[in-house]
Amino acid sequence: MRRIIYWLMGTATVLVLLFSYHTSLQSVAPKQQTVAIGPLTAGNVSSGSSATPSASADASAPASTSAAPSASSSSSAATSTPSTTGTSGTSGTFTGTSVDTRFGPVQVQITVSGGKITASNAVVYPTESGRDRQINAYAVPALNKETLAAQSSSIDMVSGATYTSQGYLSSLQSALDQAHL
Amino acid sequence: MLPAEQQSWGVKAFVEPVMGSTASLHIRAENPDGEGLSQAAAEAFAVLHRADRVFSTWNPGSDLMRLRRYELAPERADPWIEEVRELTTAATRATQGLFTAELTGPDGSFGWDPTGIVKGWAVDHASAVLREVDGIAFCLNVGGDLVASVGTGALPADLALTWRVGIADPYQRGSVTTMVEVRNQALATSGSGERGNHIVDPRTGGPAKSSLSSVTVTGPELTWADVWATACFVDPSVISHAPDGYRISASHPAAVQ
Repeated sequence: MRRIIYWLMGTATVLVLLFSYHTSLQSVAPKQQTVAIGPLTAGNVSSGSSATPSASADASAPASTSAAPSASSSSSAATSTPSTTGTSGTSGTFTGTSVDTRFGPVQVQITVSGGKITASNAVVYPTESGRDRQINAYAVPALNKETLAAQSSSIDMVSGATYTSQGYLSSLQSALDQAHL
Repeated sequence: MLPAEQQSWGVKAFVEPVMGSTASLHIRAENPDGEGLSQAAAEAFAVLHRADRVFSTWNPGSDLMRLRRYELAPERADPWIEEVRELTTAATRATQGLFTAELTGPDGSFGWDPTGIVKGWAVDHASAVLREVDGIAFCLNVGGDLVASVGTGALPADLALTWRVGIADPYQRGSVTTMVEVRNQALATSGSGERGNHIVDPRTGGPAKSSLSSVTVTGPELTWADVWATACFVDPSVISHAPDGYRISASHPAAVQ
């Protein structure tokens, strides 16, 4: 009987650990964040529409996202759009800080052309276990589509509520931050 | 918004790990690289760090955890403790009991845990620092709870005061997303994760069985936007008890099982 009580207490503690807003980020974030403050990790910063070639290249890079059919189709459709506009403003590829989630490191890259987000990809995310694939299958396309949907009105900030995508959200936010550091 | 070359202002981002999350501060100003802005950002972040030192349930040395272990006399605790204690009482009353701060902590002990209110409250305090800065618009975001506001003095005539906030709903495969534009507003999102949720329904003592997967509330103060978002996650109809200015700006239904 006593063992059951301990077990229940242990479970409750673990649940609280899981769902309290202090997530696994806490133990890891302090080490990670210095990266975010540093110079941006720009893959291909340029002005005007010349950023577009890198955008299409980036979109095809994470072939692993094709596990979710919606991701590959939407990203390829979107990257061609901004090339028609003779754009000005921020352009380039920005890579967010790698954020450690309970499932492993997640890192997002966004491509900005003329101040608009034209593509977003998870360049690093966990792929080891079946559980991880399940997480990726919807966390990654959800955010890819979100940022792509935002191309006509770029996002300044991100708000979201879930624990498992928090690392990812932080990383997307981090990518948005990188564009202005 | 004008193209970057023609607008008279720029944007500067400041990032700080704090409160188990990351604070992102974006400042729009005529001279976004000015020394004064870095100083103001540091002061704002210092407020958040103080809140961490006082309230963190993950730091055994915080005032809150020492109080819980009876190692710190209440009168010697940081005065913020008492301020927030009154706030949690008021929040429970205002939300018809749907917000609670009586929770089981990470160490398994049950007691007063203001974690659900501290983040919004601390960001409000940090924002007060930034409201004293001349000629800026800013947005301070900690883990998805944010304040968008302006500083003092004259602002550049073309300064954009609106911030576009992307609300993510990772529940819905294929993604349902929303954009909420805020201007001189606070915004807080509460919700559950796919592995369950951490919001307690005080009426049952168990996890809230919500009809929503996430709910976003906007209003004048983040402390209260956050409180109402939490309460609305338990029962969205409670928003009718919220004061003028607080409203549900976005919500996503719970995933169908």
